[in-house]
Amino acid sequence: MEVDKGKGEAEETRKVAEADRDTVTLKSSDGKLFEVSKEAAARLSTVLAGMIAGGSIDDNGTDLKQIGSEALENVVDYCNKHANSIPSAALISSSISFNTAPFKEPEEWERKFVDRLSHDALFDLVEAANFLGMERLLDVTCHKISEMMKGKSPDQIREVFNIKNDYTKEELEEIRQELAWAFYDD
Amino acid sequence: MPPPLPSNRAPQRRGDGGVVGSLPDDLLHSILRSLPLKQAARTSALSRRWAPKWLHALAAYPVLDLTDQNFARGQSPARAVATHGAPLDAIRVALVAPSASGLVGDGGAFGQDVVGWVAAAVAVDLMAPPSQDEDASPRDDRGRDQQELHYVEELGLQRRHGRSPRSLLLILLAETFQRLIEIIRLRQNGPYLHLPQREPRAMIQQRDLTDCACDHKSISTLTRTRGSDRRIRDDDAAAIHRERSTRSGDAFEGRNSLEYLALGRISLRAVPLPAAGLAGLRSLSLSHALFLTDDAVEGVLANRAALESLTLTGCHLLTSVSVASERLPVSGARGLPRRARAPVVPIDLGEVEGDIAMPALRDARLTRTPTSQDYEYPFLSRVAHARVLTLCSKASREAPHLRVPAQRRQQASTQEILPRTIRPYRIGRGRTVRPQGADLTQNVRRSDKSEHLPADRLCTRSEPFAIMIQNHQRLCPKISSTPDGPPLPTGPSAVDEENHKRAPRLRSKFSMEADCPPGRARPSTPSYNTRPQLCHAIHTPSSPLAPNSSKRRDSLSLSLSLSVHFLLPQNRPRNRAATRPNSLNLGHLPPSPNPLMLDLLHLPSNNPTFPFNLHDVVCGGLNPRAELLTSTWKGSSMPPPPPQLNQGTPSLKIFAKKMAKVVALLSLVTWNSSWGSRNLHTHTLPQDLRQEDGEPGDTSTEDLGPRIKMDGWRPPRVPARPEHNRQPRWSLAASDAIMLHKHSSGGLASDEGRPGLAGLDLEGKWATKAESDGRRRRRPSVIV
Repeated sequence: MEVDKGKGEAEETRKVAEADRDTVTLKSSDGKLFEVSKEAAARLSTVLAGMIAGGSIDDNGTDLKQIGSEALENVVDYCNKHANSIPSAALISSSISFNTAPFKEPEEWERKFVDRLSHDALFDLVEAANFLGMERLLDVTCHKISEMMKGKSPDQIREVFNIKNDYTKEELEEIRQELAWAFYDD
Repeated sequence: MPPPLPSNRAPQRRGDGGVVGSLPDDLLHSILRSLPLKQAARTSALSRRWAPKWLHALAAYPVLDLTDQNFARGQSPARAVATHGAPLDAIRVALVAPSASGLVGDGGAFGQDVVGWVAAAVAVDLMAPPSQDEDASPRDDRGRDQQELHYVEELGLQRRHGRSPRSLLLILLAETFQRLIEIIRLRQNGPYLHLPQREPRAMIQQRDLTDCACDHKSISTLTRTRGSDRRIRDDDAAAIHRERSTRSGDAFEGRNSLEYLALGRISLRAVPLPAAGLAGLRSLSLSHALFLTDDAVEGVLANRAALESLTLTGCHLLTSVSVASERLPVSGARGLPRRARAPVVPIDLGEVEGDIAMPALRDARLTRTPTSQDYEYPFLSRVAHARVLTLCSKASREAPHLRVPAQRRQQASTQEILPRTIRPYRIGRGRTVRPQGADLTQNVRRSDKSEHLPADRLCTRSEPFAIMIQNHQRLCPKISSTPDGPPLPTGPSAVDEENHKRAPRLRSKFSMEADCPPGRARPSTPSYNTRPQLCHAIHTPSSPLAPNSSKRRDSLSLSLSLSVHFLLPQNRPRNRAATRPNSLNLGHLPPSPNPLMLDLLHLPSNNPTFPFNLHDVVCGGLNPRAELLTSTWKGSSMPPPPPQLNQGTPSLKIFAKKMAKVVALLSLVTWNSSWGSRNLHTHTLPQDLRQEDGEPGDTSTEDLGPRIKMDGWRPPRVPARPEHNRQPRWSLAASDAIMLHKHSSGGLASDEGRPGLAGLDLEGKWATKAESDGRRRRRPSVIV
């Protein structure tokens, strides 16, 4: 099991000389430990970068109380995968201006990464990414969620995402009229 | 196929809002942002909570592009057709978020929503045209009112019956911190977006002000500036007058105001130009605005205390403009030396663009320095106090710049100064001067010869130079002379003549020039001294996802991407000293999760002086993901670097945390390596990274300053994958090398198509934790 593996790794690494540590240990809300390379953590997460720079990294496991072990596992997984992936040329975006959207399409491995997640895991991951300030991961996960919404009617979206409809029928009709252009099928 | 449904623990944890509903708003915005506009709008039918989200999501994005075909189709084409012959096809709203007041971080959500509200206000107008009867009760107009209500409630205002979307827009403007709101017509020749002519009906009465949650001052500002709308209805005028008399002065002090406003190709008939929230306007740009009359412009200028820059482009109804601002000079940062806060105050009165004729105003740029305490200044007489005045007109291209020192300006008649193509200006209070056949060229020459310009003049030669920075106080790219830099060229020279001739062409690209005193940069000599100039800088937020945890005052939670365009004269100026490296002071950049992009663009391919005119890059508070990128190289073939590359000592000074320092160092490496890929080779650039101002209490920063020596680095000559045995080697002796090492693997790896740094040679001191204790370990060279 990967969680256990992460834990085992963490314990193992703790034995390594402290001075040469190039990983950080993260502790989920339920106490599980995960190991992630310092470089990846600092590069991908602004929060962790700040903690590393600020020296507030706990060698025995930095507490991330907001993040459950599953989400943290995914985060660590993402970090590792990201470290292994070849940075594409798109990393140097060609032109930054008013007009260009900063978001870049998820790469193939990122797609696969989020595709395999369950709904719950996905949303947990979004929150974790948000908490850790992992912008890229956030983009990718949000992109995934929006993909799931794409092409669906409101009813379908409600069903998929378990949203409660608190409109009355009249209100709904009103909205449809107001935003007729959006509900116009072409 | 839909992914598996949430496990059964979801409902307890997530509550009724659904899985998505449990996410914070900014995440929802991110999600919605990725959706097509139509899809996003549909989500308003999901539930009440979702109803306003899509607009907010749009608003949270720096660029709001409402170009969806269906959206355009839905915008009540009949109405638009009736006014301007074609339906609305696009509104694009660009928002630049940074706030000099530092409030964006705290009020982020609100701030981010502002443009959405503006857009909503516009959209509501178009979607649900209100009935002709302004006094219609909300019942009759429920759809619109309902929608409006969302925003009003979220704004913290109570519902006001009968408030039109337009007035809502004004409220929003008033509530906006310094922001850029740019509503642009996308299609140059497309139909105009017409904002309805209906007057904003709902005056915000005093009683309304008291019970709203907004800043009282801003609302009073709104009321007051609304009062100066000359199109206001008579019966309201009395109330306004009362308002104004009781609240004088507020408008000039209120901070909640737009700082930068650019409107293009929209009708201004319904937007009262001395509009709310514009009291703090520093830069106003109106291009191709319909129905922009002289009166309107004067109205704008009358009450704008902080206006620094005005650009009117292609406004063909304008015949004469009298600039009679009370305090046209910027009210600069307090505490700085006077010289430092004396900014350039350009007024750009339009350039002819395309075939749109603007009969009266042409390319008149006026630059003045507030050297006098005399603030009663209508246009030209005010300008007479300037040390340097630059006026150029289209016809004066052969002699585009007229520079008259202050002493002479007092004597020079206005006729001499005004190019003849400029139609009568109303000067001062009703005085009209008609330039009559003055020989402009002669005047120019004469004044060129005779003037004696002080060395510390602020602006001048009108060489291609423009900085367009919205966040004036926080981000201050400025070119300043370095203490050990070359002496400023004094007095005009032949070089200047050359540049003057080129200036109009270059300036056609960049029309705005603004400068401001930096937050905490040490203003040595704020002079725009040397020839190749920082020409154009824009920074925009690239993402709304900003942390709000930062408490430092200068830690705006916003992201920047800074594009610096260098426009260089095509020929190298004869004055070699003038081409010595410049320094770029980026001021104190707010840390943010998003990368800082420094983009160097627009390099003329035949300019031999580039790239290292940039001598000093000074910035602070770089965020950890800062990157300095030189991604776009316009020139196809670059000549080898000029010898002065080696003369200067390019340095990157960063006062920031260790992390930032290292990344910035890396950025520099990346930067240089990217130059290298463009045939820039064999130069020795001793890079000196000094950490000047660390976090308070961060004692270890002082001696951590890594020194990077890039000795004998030979980047590949061709932009292709470098051969292994010819990999560039960088010798880095950095105390922070370990961090560097860590970063380098990701940041500097060369990949196909971008031959970056292929070898990174780390030697010398490695930083470990022990280093802060003064102990340092040596390691052999490591090739990454």
